[in-house]
Amino acid sequence: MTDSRSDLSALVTELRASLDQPTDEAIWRRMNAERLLRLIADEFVEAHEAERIRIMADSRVAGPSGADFLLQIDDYDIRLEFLDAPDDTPCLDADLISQFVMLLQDNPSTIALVLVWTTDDLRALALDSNDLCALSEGRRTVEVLFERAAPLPEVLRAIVASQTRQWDANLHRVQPTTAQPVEMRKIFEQAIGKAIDAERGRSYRFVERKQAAKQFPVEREKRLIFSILADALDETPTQELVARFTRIPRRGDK
Amino acid sequence: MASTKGLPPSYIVVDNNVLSSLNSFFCDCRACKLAVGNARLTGLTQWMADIISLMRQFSLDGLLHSTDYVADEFRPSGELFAGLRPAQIDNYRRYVREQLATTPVPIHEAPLMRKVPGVRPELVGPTGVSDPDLSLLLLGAQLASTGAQVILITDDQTLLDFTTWVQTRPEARERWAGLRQIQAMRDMVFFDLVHRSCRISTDDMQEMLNYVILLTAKRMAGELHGPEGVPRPSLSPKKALHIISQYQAVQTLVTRSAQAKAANKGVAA
Repeated sequence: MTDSRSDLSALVTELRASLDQPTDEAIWRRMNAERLLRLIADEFVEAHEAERIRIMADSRVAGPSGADFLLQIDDYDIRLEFLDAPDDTPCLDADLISQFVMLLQDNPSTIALVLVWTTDDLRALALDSNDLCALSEGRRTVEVLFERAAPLPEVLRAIVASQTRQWDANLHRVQPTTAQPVEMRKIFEQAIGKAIDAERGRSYRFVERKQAAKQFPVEREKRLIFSILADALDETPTQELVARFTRIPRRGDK
Repeated sequence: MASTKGLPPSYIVVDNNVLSSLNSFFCDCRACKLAVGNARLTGLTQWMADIISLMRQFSLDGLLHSTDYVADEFRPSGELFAGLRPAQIDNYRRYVREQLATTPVPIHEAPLMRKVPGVRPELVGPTGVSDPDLSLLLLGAQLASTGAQVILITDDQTLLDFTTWVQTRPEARERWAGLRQIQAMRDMVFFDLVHRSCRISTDDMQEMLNYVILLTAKRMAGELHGPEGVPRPSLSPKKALHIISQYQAVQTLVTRSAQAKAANKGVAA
């Protein structure tokens, strides 16, 4: 009741656990599991800052298709469903499977339903619609799926990794170079200068062309090209640079 | 000894913040109905005596356990005390402290508890669990060594989180065997369980929960603990929405709790 660090949503969660769970032990297991989940979730969100993960408690996920917790990650989400583990080992009531199938059908953005048992290490199992179909059709047994169960942080990491594109840039294999840094702008300027000189040095058959080459405003055009290059390096939009390149000089300009 | 679902026969260890909370609740919500001065202090003392007596009914040995480190932290505050003599306040403070059974604990083990491998830094850092907090855990482990359950009542989220985390660690369980039998519980959950056993009226329970929500709203609005002279921020729409949604959730749960209480009454009858 004082100005403590306790959070209202945690209070709501624990009050709900005390009402919903059938026995003393189940109430306590559930309260503790939810506290552990919050700690794990905080750590997970911090470690995956780039994915901008949001975790919402059950009170925010209404309706029969809701789960206990919802993890929103980019454009997909993961739903977490707590299951009691009185003997500290995972177990699954077969009647729940049809409910889980419906949950994934009703929520297309949900890529996995993670069952979390109230064990010390929060043993968890990620199920997708294929797993649930195989279970409901009897093509797979619960025991086989349980072999995949692992502590919750590992399960969450595996899901997020499977949804994240990995670029094989081989960055770790880049050998340190002994080359001196070079300035790209300088190289470009030298190349442009050479190209203009070569153009001016050409021999023309017609007098007009010879005269035009002689009157070509070399320095001004160089300045223009270099300024456009500088702007390009400063990320000026290409369209703007093309317009400057193709602009017709005013009559009489030299 | 009374018992109800969620509160099996257990030793009860109480954090100072629970007593402070009860004290503040009376000062802010009930004291205004009494005449200013001694009548209010008498009312407060009676209220504290009644609620402590109620808590004791759920304790295995009829005691509320604590440590000297924690009991010494009880400093009553509130407008009610403004017009009282220091001796009166001291008497009241001593009275509340005497309601707790304090036991020495090996406090030198507190740093070892913070070093259990894998702990999240914020649980043991400067804003994490203090030595007095850990003294309660050490006391709980000590009481639980008899094989009994222990309920640690606190309103400190960090202590709740640390207790739950540390008892899952094999290294900690090996050193402090009783840890596993401690259940950390926030005060309002404890009182709601007591409420369901028909020993607190639903109106009183509702009033206490509303007070918690009010304090949270004030804290989120920056009205509490603001440095003097610094403008306090207003409650943002997002925070306000959070409060409202939590308030609604609490109302729903109180209704369900009252139904559970009625069902319990039926069973008792």
